[in-house]
Amino acid sequence: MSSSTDSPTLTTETTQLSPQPDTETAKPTKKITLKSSDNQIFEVEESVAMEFATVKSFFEDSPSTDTVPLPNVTAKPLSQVIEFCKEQIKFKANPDEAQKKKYNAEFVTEKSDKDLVDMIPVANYLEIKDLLDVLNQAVADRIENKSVEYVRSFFGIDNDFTAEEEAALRREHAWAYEGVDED
Amino acid sequence: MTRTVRRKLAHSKEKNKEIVGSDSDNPDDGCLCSSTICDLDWTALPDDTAIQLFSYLNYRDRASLSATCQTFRLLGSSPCLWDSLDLRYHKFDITTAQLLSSRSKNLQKLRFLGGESADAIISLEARDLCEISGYFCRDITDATLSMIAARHVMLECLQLGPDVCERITSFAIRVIAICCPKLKRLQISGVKVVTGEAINALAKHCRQLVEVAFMESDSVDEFALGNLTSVQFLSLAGTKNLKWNSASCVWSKLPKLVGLDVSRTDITFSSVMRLFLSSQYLKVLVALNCPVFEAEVDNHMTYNHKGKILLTVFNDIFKAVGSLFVDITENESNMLSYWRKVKSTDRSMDAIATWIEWIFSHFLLRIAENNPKELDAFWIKQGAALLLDLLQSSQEDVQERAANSIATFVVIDDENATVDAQRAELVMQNGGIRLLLDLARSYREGLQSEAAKAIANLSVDSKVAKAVADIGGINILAGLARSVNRLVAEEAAGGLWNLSVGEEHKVVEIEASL
Repeated sequence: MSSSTDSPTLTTETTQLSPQPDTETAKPTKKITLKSSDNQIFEVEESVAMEFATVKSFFEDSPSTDTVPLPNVTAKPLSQVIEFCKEQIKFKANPDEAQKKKYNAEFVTEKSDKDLVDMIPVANYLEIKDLLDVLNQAVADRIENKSVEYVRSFFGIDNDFTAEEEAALRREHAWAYEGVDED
Repeated sequence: MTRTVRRKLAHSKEKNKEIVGSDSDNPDDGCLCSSTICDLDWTALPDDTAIQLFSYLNYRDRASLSATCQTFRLLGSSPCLWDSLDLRYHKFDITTAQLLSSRSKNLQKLRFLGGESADAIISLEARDLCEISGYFCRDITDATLSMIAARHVMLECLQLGPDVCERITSFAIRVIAICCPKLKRLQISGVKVVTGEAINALAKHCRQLVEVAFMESDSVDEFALGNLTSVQFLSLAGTKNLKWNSASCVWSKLPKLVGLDVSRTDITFSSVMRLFLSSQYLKVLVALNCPVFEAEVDNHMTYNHKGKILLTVFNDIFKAVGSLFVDITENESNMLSYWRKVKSTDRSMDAIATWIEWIFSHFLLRIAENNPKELDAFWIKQGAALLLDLLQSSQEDVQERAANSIATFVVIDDENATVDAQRAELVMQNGGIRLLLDLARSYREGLQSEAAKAIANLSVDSKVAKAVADIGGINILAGLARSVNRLVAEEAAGGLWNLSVGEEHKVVEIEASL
């Protein structure tokens, strides 16, 4: 039976803002520093950072850099995105489709609408295809069969149509709603 | 947050340390710069972020999102979102077609259901349309089909089936040949008589024709088929009254023929052998459920000859197909999945794999519907496993037919809705429930309804019902039961009903999840 002291290399720490040096592991992993637009510093393992295609190509272009500024990304969605990618690394090492699906499903279920919506542009910017897929699907599920009003408030959009335009839209889209029961 | 920056990062080879922060000096950014994400303004995001989200939505939800504001309205009509239309679950009439015509300029691919929808296709004014698939086309007429052909000269692929198209005659096939010189695939079920004149017109005008299927016909001119010199894949599954002696002589000379399907015909042993041995480029001969051939064949014959394979109901299909793609025979039971992995490396093998999947999905659906007694052993031995494999195909129509076949083949007595426990459990033991539940969660409604139907039928079996409940199937079905697509909702409700029968505790669970 293994005790907590001989923890295997695979269990990466979950702290994002102040990671402790991983003295137990055999080979020290390189850390990469990411800086969000609100000047928060994130130290992540290189393998995690390489999940972000944007960061990866940044490093390919300028290998000597040690801090990657992410001027379009704020801390909160970034920390959630990092959390997701850390898990994906584990699945890469130990492929388990069922577990991965389960994790991905839970990851989005526990997030608020705003969290999801905020993460999409970050995932898009950092080019994390898997996450983008999971997020888009989650948002699609949440607005499925919802009214236009609901969708507007979901994304925080203001209605900028005139009454005439709205009437025209209803006619134009009538076919798509054919057979839908109003509820 | 601009698309330009991201692209630059992804493609630029130049070293530029400021690259991430350089969005302000890109002249083509326009209004897309958003300062912070705290106050996320979706309408100010890069176009592709929002367009991507649109692509996850069905037509109803796209309409709702488009109706939120001007920006989304514009994005929602982006041509890339409308290059393919599946109107099988919508009332697709001339009015709908006219409303859609402004978005159909870029339309490449269309799926529709029934004769009335066929009449509406022309009103879409989608002149670049290159792929049309019609379902339930019993009442589509020669006049309609001829008009469709005449208005869509770019057509490359036309599929009408699997239901028989009784009213279509060789006249329409000739019109298609003359109007659509780019035609590559033509697959029609149930044209009563396919004349030599029609086939010769195809041979003369459609020089790129690669794949032809005249299935469930009463008569096809076998000599004329010999003139289709560009054809690589030919299927005559279920077609009657073919003169096999002359057919096998003529077809074995087809210079490019790679795949031939003569399943469910009265082909003789000697004709199978002639085709198999003397067709020069042939790789795959499919002769499933051919009673005359099967009565004569020696069970010990080999099915692999100089790189060609013969597929019958009593040889090991996985192994035979696998031998086409790899020399090694490891992991035999998963051979079909294996070709999906090797596919991308070799395009000609890719085409063969795609065709075999298509042929098998048709064959299995047909025998699931007719349920001939003599194929009981085939289902148990490999039919069920093949269906599960086809559920994972990359072709959506193949997946749909496989799910439909599962729903059908487990019911052995329609009148009393009797489900064969052995067949149902075969599907369950091989991971079929999980695969079906995944398909049921697909956003594609065709797959949703077929998968829900399959789960519903399988759940008549109490062991399967338990398995469905155990892996979260109730929630998935409950979600589908709320679908605005009535067909999906009905199948899902049927599934929930079957899950609840006889097990009181589950009724509570289902009510709670609704």
